[in-house]
Amino acid sequence: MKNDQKICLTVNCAPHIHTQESVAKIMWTVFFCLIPAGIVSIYIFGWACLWIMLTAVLSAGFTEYLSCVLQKKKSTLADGSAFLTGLLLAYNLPPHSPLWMVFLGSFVAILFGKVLFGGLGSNIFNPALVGRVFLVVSFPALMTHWPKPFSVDAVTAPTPLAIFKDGFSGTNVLADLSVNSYSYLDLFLGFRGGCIGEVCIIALLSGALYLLVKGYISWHIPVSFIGTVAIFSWIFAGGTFFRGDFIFHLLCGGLILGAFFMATDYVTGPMTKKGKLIFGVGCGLITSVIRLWGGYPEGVSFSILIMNAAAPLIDRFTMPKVFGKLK
Amino acid sequence: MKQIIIALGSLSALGGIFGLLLAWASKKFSVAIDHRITAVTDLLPGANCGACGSAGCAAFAEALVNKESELSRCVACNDQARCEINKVLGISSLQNCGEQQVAVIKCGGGKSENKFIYKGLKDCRASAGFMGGHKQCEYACLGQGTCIEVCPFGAIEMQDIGVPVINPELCRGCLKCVQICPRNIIEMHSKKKTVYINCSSLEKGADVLKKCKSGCIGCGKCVKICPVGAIKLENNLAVIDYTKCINCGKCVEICPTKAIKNTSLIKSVG
Amino acid sequence: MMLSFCGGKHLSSYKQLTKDKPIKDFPLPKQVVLPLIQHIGAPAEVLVKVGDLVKTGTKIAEAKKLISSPVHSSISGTVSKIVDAPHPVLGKCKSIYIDSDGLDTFDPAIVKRNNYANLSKDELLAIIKSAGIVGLGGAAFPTCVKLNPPCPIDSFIINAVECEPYLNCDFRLMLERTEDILQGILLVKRILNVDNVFIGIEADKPQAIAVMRTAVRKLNLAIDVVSLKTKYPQGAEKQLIKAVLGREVPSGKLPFDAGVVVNNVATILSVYDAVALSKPLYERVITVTGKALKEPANLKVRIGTKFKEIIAYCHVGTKPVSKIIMGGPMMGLAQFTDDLPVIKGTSGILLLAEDEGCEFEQQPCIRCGRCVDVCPMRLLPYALSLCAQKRSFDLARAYNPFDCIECGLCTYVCPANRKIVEQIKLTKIVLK
Repeated sequence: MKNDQKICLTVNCAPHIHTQESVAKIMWTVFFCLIPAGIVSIYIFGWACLWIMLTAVLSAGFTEYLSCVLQKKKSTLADGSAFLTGLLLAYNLPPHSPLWMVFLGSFVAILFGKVLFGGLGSNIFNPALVGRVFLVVSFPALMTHWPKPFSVDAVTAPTPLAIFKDGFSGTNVLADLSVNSYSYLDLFLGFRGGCIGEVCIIALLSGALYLLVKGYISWHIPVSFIGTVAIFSWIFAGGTFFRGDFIFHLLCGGLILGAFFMATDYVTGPMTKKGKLIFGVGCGLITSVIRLWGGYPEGVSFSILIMNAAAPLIDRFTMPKVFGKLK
Repeated sequence: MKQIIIALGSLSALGGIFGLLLAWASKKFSVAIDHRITAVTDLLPGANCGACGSAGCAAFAEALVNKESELSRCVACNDQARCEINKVLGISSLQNCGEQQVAVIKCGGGKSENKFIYKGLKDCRASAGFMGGHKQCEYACLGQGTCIEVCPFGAIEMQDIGVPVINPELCRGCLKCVQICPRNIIEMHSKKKTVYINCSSLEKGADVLKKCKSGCIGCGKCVKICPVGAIKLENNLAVIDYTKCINCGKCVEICPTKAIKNTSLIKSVG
Repeated sequence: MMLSFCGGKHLSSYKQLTKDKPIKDFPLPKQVVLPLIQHIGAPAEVLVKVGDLVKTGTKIAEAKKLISSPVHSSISGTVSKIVDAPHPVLGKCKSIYIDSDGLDTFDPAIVKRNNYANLSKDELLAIIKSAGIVGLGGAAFPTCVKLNPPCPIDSFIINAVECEPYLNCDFRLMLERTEDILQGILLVKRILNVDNVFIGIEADKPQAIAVMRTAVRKLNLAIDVVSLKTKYPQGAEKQLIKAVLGREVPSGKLPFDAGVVVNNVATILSVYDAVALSKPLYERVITVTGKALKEPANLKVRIGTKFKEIIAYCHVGTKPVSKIIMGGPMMGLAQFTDDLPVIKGTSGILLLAEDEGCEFEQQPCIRCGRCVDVCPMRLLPYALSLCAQKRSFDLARAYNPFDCIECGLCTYVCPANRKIVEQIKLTKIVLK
């Protein structure tokens, strides 16, 4: 910078420094935090899981790219949100889903769950769950086809929650016995029937722990969500009140995956801390109600979608009191 | 087959019944609407710009018919429509017609040198509040295109030189751009008078030249050549008195910095 | 639990660049440019004409209005011109140019005052006013007005927080002129006639806290040196009052509405200088810093010294400079030229290299809520930003844009690189 030289400096508004975080960094971090659970599921259910995950991720990316091209927008692939949606969808599918169905799910998730609302940040519902619910409603048989862990010839077995549900609603008197055949350790490690990504609790928790430490997710939603399910199932899930096996209910189904990775989605959840607690409690209540008395054995995805719709309202009612304003 | 017939039959029957019901209801419960209101609404520009003070063109039409407003409040209407509306309203056609006004942006300063690289929000109002704008000239268009955003008629387009231009054919004179421009360099003038000074700088000629190659330097050549004496210099800037201007275009030719423009030459740049 | 406010964020401070550099006297400049507006309020009115000889400390422009502040010559020499010149805050302002005679002869009025302990409140305020003292933290509000609040107050807080990253000038002053600062505090305490006096210092400056505490104990004064949580914007007036006293200044009101007066530590020191040494405000300490500089420093410079001389003194490194900022990186003003004078409110000059800039493309808001979490005013910055983006400024009114203190934290934390502060500023402009 010499004095005789004409300089043209950049001028913009303060602040002049910026955090190292970016949307892409957050999305990819969440993506990689989900990877361990996927690896374990390949170990448990076989290579089919890998193809499902790849199909879901790539077709989600493809749909996103296509929509950007059609809208003549700059490609938003790099922010990683489409890939994350794809991966989350894959984790919500049964291990032997046909690949055409996976593609369809991804396509619907991105197109109807996100792009039609105006892209990232504008969607009301969690795109991955939109995709999953679309598939559950459209292909109920395929979506409840649960292979037994470590089976080579695709022997099917109901999920622990389905067994529980039969027992709870009295359709199968032997159900209680079958439920007890799963030890907590089995459930914790993921040796049970279920969706690809939801089974291995320990892998999910390790990823979630990293996200918590990095501050990418806050504890409010997971704790209130899981806590509510625990209390509710402790009270009601047993034969008599306060006898429910709540540990079983926490370890089964997609609760951990949903509470840590899907209910905490920024776009579709509330923003205030108080709002997050309310959101979590709401999710927990709806999940428990569906699990115990609803038409499906599992209610995590429905509960999150329903609370997604309520999130703007929650935000509105939990607006923080402005500094120095008297109410 | 039988089911199909039953379904078809019952649905048609239902449709028929409800159709009759609706037809009856529309007659029975119809509210008398002054046909003039719909006629005037159709003749109004339909941009709902709100410049008249009413909540949109339909409300304005109602106000006109009820004699609560005046047609001259509508700045967006063209002359033909004005006359026709007056006909509908039963007013002699010359009354309240007014001449149609269009806006012009009085800056040709895309070449006005930048003071600095502006990396802020793309909004003129934000840019103007920032160290007095990023252009060297204090009167220069900031080129962030806020007038383009507010124009309800899509009449403003950005030129390559970084200053927007208003297409007089599309401009309805609603004043939105005039009101929003933080530099106050958008002005209204009669659509029939197409010549205007394309500069707003009140600085001395030498200072203008330093900052910009297309500004009015107040040389007075236009003042001398004007056959009807419609141009005079005010604060180093040529000003046209449109009551005298005859659109001869001599000033446009003589201006050494090409700072006088003729809107009839502006064509859509897109 | 350390004293603080809700919201805010700990930022990397970059203070180590100049933290241990003692204050150096900047060599006398050849020419100074003294803008007539260096404060909030009406411009000062010129007392001199071109060709006049002035001495260091001579009053060259007088404050005729109530909220205004006089300007003093910062060198001795000749008034060479009085014209519009670039101004670091306003862009352009009428300024007095003074060419140095190289002698730096002081105005005869600058003599040590021995009997200042006996001066009355009004006399003290008159001295402060005529010495041209304004808030040196950056806002530059005339101090005499601030020290004469219209309603009774009970507390006086000295703002020694210096929460802006990079800046160290207040910290160095506390280490090097501890006792003068305490004397200044006693003077202001007498003016305000309050019992509760606090010095707020961030916990990441333990040295300053220790030095101040020792001095307070030595002189046996009733001053509470408060250690505050290291968190930006701890030094914002309202947040500081909340942290120290637990009071919230009502929305749209000023600190004295909560019974408090807050003054920057450098301002206090200049009050002491004005009263004890009858020295008007013609020089101040600034931090010149940034990774683009080879020798960042804390300098005592004359008001009106040009940025480019100071920058040249500190040697620009090999990295190309992309920004010159007056003040800190969070709230400082980026400048379009280096041909600018240091004014009373200049707390630092920060040079950012190209790779330190933060020019990213705005992305859509992902509603992550980081801005809501950090906002020290508990606003919803994302909502204000969206309203501004959609040009729905009327809707923005419901989200209290006028309570925003423009600390810049929301923009800092936004992972989608949204220019939230700028959008709120625009909203304020439009709604005004």
